[in-house]
Order: sequence, then structure tokens, then C-alpha cells
Amino acid sequence: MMGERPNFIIRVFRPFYHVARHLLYPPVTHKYPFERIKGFPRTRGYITLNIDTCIGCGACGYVCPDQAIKFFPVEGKPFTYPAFDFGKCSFCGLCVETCPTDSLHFTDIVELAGEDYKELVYMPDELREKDIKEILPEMEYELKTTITRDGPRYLRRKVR
Amino acid sequence: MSDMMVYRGNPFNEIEELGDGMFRLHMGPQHPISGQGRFIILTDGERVFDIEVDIGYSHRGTEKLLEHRTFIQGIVPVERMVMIDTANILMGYIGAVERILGVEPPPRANYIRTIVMEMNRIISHLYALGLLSESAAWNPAVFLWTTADREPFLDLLEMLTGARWSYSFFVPGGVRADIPRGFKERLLVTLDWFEKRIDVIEEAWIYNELFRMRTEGMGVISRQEAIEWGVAGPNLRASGVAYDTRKNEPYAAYGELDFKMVTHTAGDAYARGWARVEEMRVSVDIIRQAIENMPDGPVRVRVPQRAKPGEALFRVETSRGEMNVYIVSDGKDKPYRVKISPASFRNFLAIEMIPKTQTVLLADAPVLIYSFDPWFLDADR
Amino acid sequence: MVDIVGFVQANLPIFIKILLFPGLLFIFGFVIFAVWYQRKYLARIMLRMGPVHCGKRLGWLQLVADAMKLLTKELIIPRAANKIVFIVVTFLLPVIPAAMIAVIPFAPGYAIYPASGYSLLLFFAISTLFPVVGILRGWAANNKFTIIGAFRMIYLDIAGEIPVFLASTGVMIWAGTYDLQKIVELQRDMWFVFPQILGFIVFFIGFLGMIEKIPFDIPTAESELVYGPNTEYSGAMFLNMMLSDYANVLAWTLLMITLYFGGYNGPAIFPDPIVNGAFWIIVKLLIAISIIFTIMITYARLRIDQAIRMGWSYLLPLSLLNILLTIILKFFLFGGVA
Repeated sequence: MMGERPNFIIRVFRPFYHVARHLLYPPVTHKYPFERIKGFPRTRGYITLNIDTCIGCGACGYVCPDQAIKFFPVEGKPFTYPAFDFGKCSFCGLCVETCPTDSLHFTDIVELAGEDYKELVYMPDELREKDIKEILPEMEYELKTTITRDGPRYLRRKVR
Repeated sequence: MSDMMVYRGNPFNEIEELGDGMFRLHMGPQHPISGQGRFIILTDGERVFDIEVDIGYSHRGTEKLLEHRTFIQGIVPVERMVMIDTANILMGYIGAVERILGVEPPPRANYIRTIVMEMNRIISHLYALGLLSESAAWNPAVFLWTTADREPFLDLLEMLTGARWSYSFFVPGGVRADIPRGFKERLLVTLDWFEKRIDVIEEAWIYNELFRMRTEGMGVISRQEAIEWGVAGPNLRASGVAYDTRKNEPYAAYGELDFKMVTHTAGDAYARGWARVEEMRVSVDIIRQAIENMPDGPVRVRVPQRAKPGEALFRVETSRGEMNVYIVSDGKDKPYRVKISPASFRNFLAIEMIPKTQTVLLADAPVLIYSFDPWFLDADR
Repeated sequence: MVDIVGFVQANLPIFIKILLFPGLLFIFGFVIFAVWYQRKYLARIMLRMGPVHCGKRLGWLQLVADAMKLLTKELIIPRAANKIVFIVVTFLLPVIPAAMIAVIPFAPGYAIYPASGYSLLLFFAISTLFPVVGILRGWAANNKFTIIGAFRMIYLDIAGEIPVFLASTGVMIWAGTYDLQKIVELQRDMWFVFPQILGFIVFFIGFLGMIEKIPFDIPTAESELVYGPNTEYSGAMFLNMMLSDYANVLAWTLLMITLYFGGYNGPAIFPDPIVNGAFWIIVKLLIAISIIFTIMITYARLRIDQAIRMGWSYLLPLSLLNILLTIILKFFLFGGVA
């Protein structure tokens, strides 16, 4: 049911009180890319492949809803291994969940950019965390502070 | 006024005459309020005589896409129908799939689903309130406050599911992971804080005299009209119809929880906005109960890959209203046909009906549209 | 051969007034500052940061960068537009608020055009040109959104200007003069906002309508009219529109300070009266625009019918009542002396 409304004076002037109070709060914005938020353990970012334990079974390619995983041979290795097209990938995580040997892992890197869609295709031997971090060559020197997520900044301050 | 509006001296005249000085104003697809669609408004300059909602700009053929995907792969296209409300949308699909596969999720999974869905409802209602405030004003502070207040919930959902939205968290047979360590404490702190924030938003915007002047008595839908036009969700309950799928046909853990249904009687834009604020309070209540009463046990059971031939229907109360998902199977690992009946589509019909029954001014049109919390991708599918 | 150097030297004070302090540089500086301050101030209320990148911490170079960007953009003139009017209006529009500022005294005897004896009337006379040029820009673009915005502007200006004028009539009666300089001098002991409190409330609401900010930004209503009469202007012409909008805010705010808040009066902290007057008027200006920005972010926009009803059925009778009260107060209680 409709609650009781306060009187006219409060309806007109009470909003000013809240607006003025918000001047005192710290901003919610993170200064990305100068500050970078650390992900949670479950954060689904770029996917890495441990090529030594992969058995090339193809389960990830079968389950992928976006057909983002194709299989290619790698020199000196016995099987065909998954290559990821991150331009198609929707980061649903079904491949990581399905992998029978636990060879696929998520990172918390979410920066997805390239001048060409082909730059987003990662061949099996490129799917290492070290290589994926190289997509941020210009940003890396700017990552001065990393704030942990103990809570949103303005949760620490009491409201009202 | 109407005669002066027609500037006849130019061969490239953009202002066409439609009898008695009326013309059509195209709000969208490139317009501050339009979103991914278009509203064609028949007006004489101030009064709106007709609103035509032109949907279809973002049609992706979700139903057809689902016919070419296995049941579990269907998660990805379905939850992209409403990015702001993925958990509730996905619940409709997952519920129907579970019915057709003949599996029952474990009780703990039901409770986790309820928590995720109610957090998603809070996020969605906050966004709806922000857009409603933006439609009636120029960059009001409330618009950004609601956007910022979603952050703690988005963080919590990332902690639980791994993504800020499009969680892909519900699967046939349960959820993909149990709640992590530290989640419950953090959730309870956030809920305490958020209850105070709802009061702030209510006092700063819902009780705001100028917002009241703009919305009260505007876009009124009577109880009878609401039922006839098929209005859905909080918009329906704001017209005094006590219909909530969470109550009337409980799914997930809603049947075991005790919560009230928000109904208003006014049926105007103000009641629709206020109903969303009060529904957020109810959602907080539901989350508290669910996290306290959560049973132990597994969160996921094995499901068969192939369904038996047959059909299944599942109703779900998304943030925008009731959504029906109907699946027909012919015994393969993919559905034969999926039909999704979303809530936004029915709400758009009400937007078209309102100018025919009452006076709507041009300045009312954006407020009227956003009081229904429309979502074009939902209606387009 | 005209002796330009000699002419400038002979009229140096008036050139300083026109080009530097209350004139060109001050208006440009105020507009740049006001837009930056608005973005920063509103961002902090919205829990954002506002501009931070251009110009180190405070982002003070952001507006310069924005102006440079707008100046280098393509000027798009709609095919259906009346091209001459469309372009001429952009240059005409900033002149009007600048002319309004010319009559405002910034220090004892320091105004670009003092207009002794009738400066308040001159201010209102010039201000009536603003909606006229406003409708020209709406008409010239030949667009549905601009023409609706232009008509709304006329409705709003008629509904707002009459109460504003009648409310300041109260000040005229109380002070017994049309001269802004004398009105300021009479407020040396007491600001006119106290005896004229009813008039001030009417003036302030009408004033929000005159500067077309929330809750009266009805002509440029973003939700339905995109940017009202200014919708089709791009690049440098858009910059001109912004300039005229904020110069209009400046002119009306200065009038409000002059009429009700003692103008340049204030404790003498600088020895030079001109510096002192300018200092106090700028301090009052900053407080005033902070309040305007706070109102902008707090409230919703009124509908045009609600705004017109407010103007004609509430503000107009109240302003007439204010005149009556002023006459009673002045001539029967104070014996004709303010």
C-alpha cells in the first residue's frame, strides 16, 4: 500500500540535505587505468591453457556455445590443442568447467582490445598468462596502484 | 500555433503537415531517451495523440539460435536478452529445460538461485529508477547514485559467479558453484547498508515534490485496463492487481520464504516508480531469509543430455514482469522449438494504449515510457 | 588619419572595462570557469570525479581542451535550414547577455555603461531580446525539435519575465530609483532581500525560468527535445550557444546580487574600492551559482503547462501583493524613506 508522504516543506527541501551530504563522500569511480581493480578468485577473464597436461580431447570445443575454440597441432606435441578466438568468446566458462584434466584456467585480465579481430585469436602455445599480459603493453607502466576489493570505497563510510 | 509551425517556403521541408497542424516526431533510434528502438509520436507540438513503439532494431533471433544449441549452450544467447536482469531471464529458460529433462535441482541450489535472482532484481530496479529520474530531469543526482549503488551487488555477484553480469551461473540441475567463503558476511553488511540507501533514494527522489508533480496522475492504468492490456510485473501490481509469479506459482525457493507482495492502487507513473523502490525492500528481505535458512547439501545434480519427446512451460517473474518460456523437444539433445514470451513486449503495448485513453503531453512521453521500465532487447528477442 | 593610439590612451579606462574586467575577458573567464565548476561540483555530488586528466589533478585544462575540440569540428548546417539566419544568430546571441552585463555596477561608479537613472529598465529592455533571437535559432534550423523548443521558450519567457519585472518593481519602489548604482549604495546597511523577502522568492523562481535551468529548462528539455532550439548547432556554433547560455546565467545572477544581496558592498579588505567591489561581487557570484547548480541536480523538470500556471497564477499575484506590501511598508510605516 502507498505509505504516508511527508509534508510539503520536507518534500521540497529534504532532497537538498541528501545532495549536500553526498559532497562529503569519496567518489566511487576508480581511476582506471591508473588504478586497477583486482579480481576475485572466480573472476572470469582471459583463459590460459596448460599445454603439458592437455590431452586434446576436444571437450571444450564441443561445449563452447560460441564456436570460439578451434583445434590446431603444435610442433613437438602429440595432439591438437585448443586455440581461442576471444573476439567470439563470451567468457561463460563452460570450457574451463568441462576440461577433464583441469588444463584451462581463468585469469582476472579482462582488457580485450586489438586493432584487428585476428589479434584476438590466441593459438595454443600463446595461451599463457605471460603472453596474455603482453596485450597491455601501454597500460602496464601505468598500473601504479592496485586496490583490493575489501569493499566498495564508500561502503567504508557510514551513510546517514 | 499550429499554422506557424509549418514552414512552407522550403522544398526540403522536414515538417510535413498531417491535417490540423499535426506532425510525427521520431524519438529514436538516435535520441537521448530512445534506447535501441524508436517511438513515433503524433503530436501538435505539445499534446501527444499517439505513440507508436517501433521495436525490432535489435532482433537477434534468440529463439532460432536456441534450436541449434544444446540445452546447456542455450544459456549464453538467452541471458543476453536482458543484460541488466540476466539471472531472472535465465531462470525461465533453465526452469523449462529442467522440466523437460525431468530433473529437480537440489534445495541448496534453489536457495542460491533465489539469492542471485533477488540481487539481480535490485540491480535492475535501481537502473530502472535511475532512468526514470533521468527522463524527468536533467542529470539528477539520483541517476548516478542508483548507478553507484549497484556496485556492491555487482561485486558480490562477481565474487559468487565470476562475472558482473551475464553470469551463466544457473545450469540445468543446479548452480555451477557453492557460495564462497566470506560471501555471507559481506552480503549481510551490504544489505544493512543498502536498506539505508533505499531510504535516501526515497527521500531524495520519490518524495521530491517536483518529481511528484511530474508523475502523479500521469499515465494512469486502471485495474481493469491493466488486466486487459496484459501489463506485467511491478507495473501491473502498481495498478492494484495482486499478481506475482513468485507468489502465485512459486519456483526456486520462493515457496518456502515469507515475503509480501507490493501493490499500489493509483496505477500512475508515480506508483510504478514507488513500487520499484518498495520491491527492493522486499528483495532485501527475501535475500536475508534465504541466506539464513539455506539448507546444506549439493548444489548440482547430474542431468541427462537428451530430453524425452514432449513439451514444457515455465513462468518466471523477471524484474519487468512475468516471462513464459515454452520448449518442445523431439528427443534430441537440442530443443525442437523454443518460444519466449517476454514482459517488456506487453509493457510496450500499454505504452501505445495510454495516449488513446487520456491526455499525455510531449514532456510526459519520456516519463511515461520509462515508468514502465522498457527493455527493447527483451521485446525484440 | 585617425590617431588610434591617442584615442585609446585618451579613453583607457573604458577600454579596460570593455576588454578586461566586466567585459570580454571576464565573461569568457566566467563561462569557462562556470562550466568547469559545474562539471566538477555536480560530479562530486554524483559520487564521480569529473575531469581529472587534462591539467593534472583538478582537470582545469579540460574546458580548454573541449573548446579546442569544438573549434576544430566540422560546421554542419542542415540542408533545410535558412542558412543566413542560422549562422547570424550564433554571433548575435552572446552579444545580448554581454549588453545586459554592461549596466551592472561592479564597484562605486564602475560599470561599462552606467546609464545613470534608468539602468535597471535598460537591463530588462535588453533582456527581452534574448527570446526573440532564441526563436530565430529554432526557426532557422527548420527542425521539429528546434521549433517546439523555440515555442516553449516564448511561452516560458512571457510567463517568467513579467513576474520577475514586477518583483523587481518592489525594489524600485523601496529604493525610489531605477538606477542600479543607487540601489547598491542604499544597501550599504541592509540588503534588500530582507524587506523584500516575498519579492525575492518570486524573483528567484522567475529567475530560474529566465536562465532556463532546472526546474525550468523546458525549452532545451533533453529528455524529449534533445537540446531544444540548439539541437542542430555543431562545432564552433555550439560553443557560441554554450557561451550565450552561461553569459545569460551570469547576467541574471549579477542582477539578482545587485538587487537583493548588496551588489559590490562588503567589508573593506582591499584598499582599492574597485578591487574590493569586484572581489565581493565574485564571491557572491560563486555562492549563487553553487546554489543554482545544486537546484539543477536536485529537482525534476516541470512541464510547460505547470511552469506557465506557476508563472501566471502564483508568481504574478504574489509579485503584485509584494508591490502593495512595499508601498504600505514604505509610505505608511517608514514615511517614504527607505
